[in-house]
Amino acid sequence: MKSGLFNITLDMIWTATLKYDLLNNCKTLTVILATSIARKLDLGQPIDGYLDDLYFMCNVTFALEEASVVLVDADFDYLNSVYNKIRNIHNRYKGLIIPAHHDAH
Amino acid sequence: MAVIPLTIEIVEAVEATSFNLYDLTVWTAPYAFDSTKITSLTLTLVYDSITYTYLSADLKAEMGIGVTYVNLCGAAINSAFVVTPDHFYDGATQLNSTYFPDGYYEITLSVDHTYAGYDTPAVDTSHQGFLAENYIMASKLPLTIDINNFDYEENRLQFLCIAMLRAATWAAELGRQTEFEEITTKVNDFLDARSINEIWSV
Repeated sequence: MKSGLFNITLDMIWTATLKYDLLNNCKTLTVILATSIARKLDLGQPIDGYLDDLYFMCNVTFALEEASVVLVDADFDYLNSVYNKIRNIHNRYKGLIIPAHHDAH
Repeated sequence: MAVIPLTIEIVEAVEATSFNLYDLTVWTAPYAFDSTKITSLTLTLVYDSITYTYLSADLKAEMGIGVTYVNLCGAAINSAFVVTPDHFYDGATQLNSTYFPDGYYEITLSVDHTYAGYDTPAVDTSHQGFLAENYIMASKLPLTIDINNFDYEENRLQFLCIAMLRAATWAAELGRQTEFEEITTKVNDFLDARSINEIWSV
């Protein structure tokens, strides 16, 4: 099964490169969600879909950034599936276009 | 000519008084780390579209690079060189005497060397969102606790502020300066609206 910006395959061996790509994918989606919220004139506007998913993606990204050494392949599969689910929801229903990854660090 | 894949990492101090510079380069043959082949280093940063250079008579000596080192920053693999803002100048203009102002930074380390067959200098640039003051300001957000009339919406928005700051940090790490500035502008508006004042950049 192919998914994600970098054609990450589920049920696979998570190499250092794939973990790095997933972390950058998650950072990118988090930034897009935060930017969408920032562009709203008033934070009192309905932001529920963005807010909840931003919290979720912050947690996923934190886990990948801070605890990747204790995660096993099944954990990466799960976090990748969470990333894809949130990304797909926003691409399909909220009109967000996830742009190409900007490679920098 | 090949290029030595210099890789640096930057970690800002909690109170913005310095940042740690780490060398994550895998120094391996044919460019195994050899302090005698490192001739000089240059450290620069771009902040607010102005380029500042770390002023030092001899940065290599200041970093203590010698035969015991395993990378550019020390004798242990996780060694760091502590960089303070008072060394950075644009001409005669100092970046700051005591703290790194919050904002978007591009920090570049350039290393001149004598490794045969490799381009000189070896260069790496790290994109960083320094937000130490904003994080401390956000931690001071007041939330009046009234168990009979809890302000759930304000509570959610205050959590949102922290999440936005984290997202801004990641935006900078990805080199997305435009998004970094959009997100931090919104966070500052949010903090201003709640009368949270600057702590050290007043």
